[in-house]
Amino acid sequence: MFSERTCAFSKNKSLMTFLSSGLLRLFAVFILLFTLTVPFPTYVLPSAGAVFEPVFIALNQWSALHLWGITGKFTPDLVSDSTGLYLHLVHLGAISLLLSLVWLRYFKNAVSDMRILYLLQLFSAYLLAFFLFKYGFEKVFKHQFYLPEPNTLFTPVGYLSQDILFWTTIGSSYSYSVFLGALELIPALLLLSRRTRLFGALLAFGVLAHVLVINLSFDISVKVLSAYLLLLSVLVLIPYRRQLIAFFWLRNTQIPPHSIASFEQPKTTVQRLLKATVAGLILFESLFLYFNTGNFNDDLAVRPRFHGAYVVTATTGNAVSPSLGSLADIQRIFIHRRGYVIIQHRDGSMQDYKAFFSGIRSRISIWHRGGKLDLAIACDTAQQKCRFSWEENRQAYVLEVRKTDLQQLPLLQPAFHLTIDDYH
Amino acid sequence: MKTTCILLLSIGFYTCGFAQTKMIAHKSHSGLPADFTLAGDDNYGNPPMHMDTLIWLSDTSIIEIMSYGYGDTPRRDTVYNHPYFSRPGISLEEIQSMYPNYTVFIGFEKQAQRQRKMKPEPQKNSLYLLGFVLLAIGGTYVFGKDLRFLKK
Repeated sequence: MFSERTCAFSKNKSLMTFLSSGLLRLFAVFILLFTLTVPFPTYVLPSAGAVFEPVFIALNQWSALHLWGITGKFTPDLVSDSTGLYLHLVHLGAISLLLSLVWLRYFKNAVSDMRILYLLQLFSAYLLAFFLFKYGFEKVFKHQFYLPEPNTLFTPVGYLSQDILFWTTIGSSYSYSVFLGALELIPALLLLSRRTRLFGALLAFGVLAHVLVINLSFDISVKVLSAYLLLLSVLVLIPYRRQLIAFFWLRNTQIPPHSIASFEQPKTTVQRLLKATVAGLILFESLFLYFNTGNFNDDLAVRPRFHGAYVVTATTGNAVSPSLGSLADIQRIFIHRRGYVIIQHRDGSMQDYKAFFSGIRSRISIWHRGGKLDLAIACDTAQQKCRFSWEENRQAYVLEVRKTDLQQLPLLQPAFHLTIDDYH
Repeated sequence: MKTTCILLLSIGFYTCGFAQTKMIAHKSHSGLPADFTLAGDDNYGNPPMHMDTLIWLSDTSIIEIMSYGYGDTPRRDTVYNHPYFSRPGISLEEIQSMYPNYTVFIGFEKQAQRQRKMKPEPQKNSLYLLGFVLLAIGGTYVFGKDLRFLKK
């Protein structure tokens, strides 16, 4: 009995040397504040960050001007990788430091370090599980890396930025997208149970480290969030550090219990029910969109009526439109699924216009800097030919176009070659 | 109990991922960097439904016709006591300002004309407030003498 107590004391002491009480509280406060202040769009559950966002935007604006000397144009909003979000991180860091010092000075004995570590790990594990479920399902159902849009397919690779090129590459492979999603769903599931949490956290760490490197290397603007998720996975792993060191470095078969094992008592029925409810809410929020829309494979989702790429074959009527310029200069027209019409000029440059495709009228309305333009579209589906016509200042403009079969493009061919012999 | 609170807090206040990068969404339609705004769409999920047409039926009912713009079958929905249109004295311009500029309004001119002829009824909330203020003034007057000792 005595030896056990001595052993536990030495463990606690070594823990304190590794992770001081102050650092522990600093992380706990920071994670909680970040959670409560950064807004996230939700389908079902509330987002507290949206409530506090105006306060912190005002703080960002003040601090940018008076502390950082940022006088030029910048984005104060707390959105992905904005200047405002980086400023917010600095502010939260300072506030967390202050609060953790007050906590340490005046309320140190209110909650033991071990309990804080336990609660921080639990919070981080469920939060991480939620994000991994969310992103995992988005990949599995092909909502995140979607099939490239027609205008992207007709943009030369050299003209694409790294992030949209990465999106296009992954989006062109259904199986790889599903595989990536499964890689995130497995640790998400494992994180929910204390028995499998260590394995889940290790997997999550590997997956999220890779995600962070991708975001940094391909300049994808989710750098802060991916770094934050990686931090969460580290926080889940910290209580297991002795076990990990013993297993991987010391080759010790007598693995000691991890530092917060004493808090992980078997749950009562009520606790189990609550845990199931929380897990259910996570799944409900993660899956709501797909069940609500019935879209479980976005590659197969119905596209807008005129969605696609059109090559201009002839022009009639007036040669120069006040809104769209010289008709002879238009090489292709693309209809984007999210409500855009994109014009590709002969020199390869693109111009996008916000558009609305009426569900009950055969027309597309596009908005340009000068106002609205109503395009009437008549198609001969058998011939894959269409006519885009409109009027401006009582003058008629017509573009004769031919629709391109996107499925015939090499990138969208469902190709799998086990051997190179298949090529010839 | 603390554990339970932590579990609930972990999802109740921090749900969903960051809006998938708006920058990717912007680049997906070949948007120029200079045209990027935060008001743009997020990257994934189905596009939202659009309000195609609103048809006025009566003072208490309208028909909403919505579509995804897919060439899908438009959805018709009859709405009774719609909070926008049941407001007395609301003009057609006010109604139009609440919807995208491509939404077509049918029959609302007649409704707007009828609304102009009708006198707006006083708001119930205003009546309650008026009653409360009168009560406060009356109460202060009646009991004022009794309260004066507080000043001493």
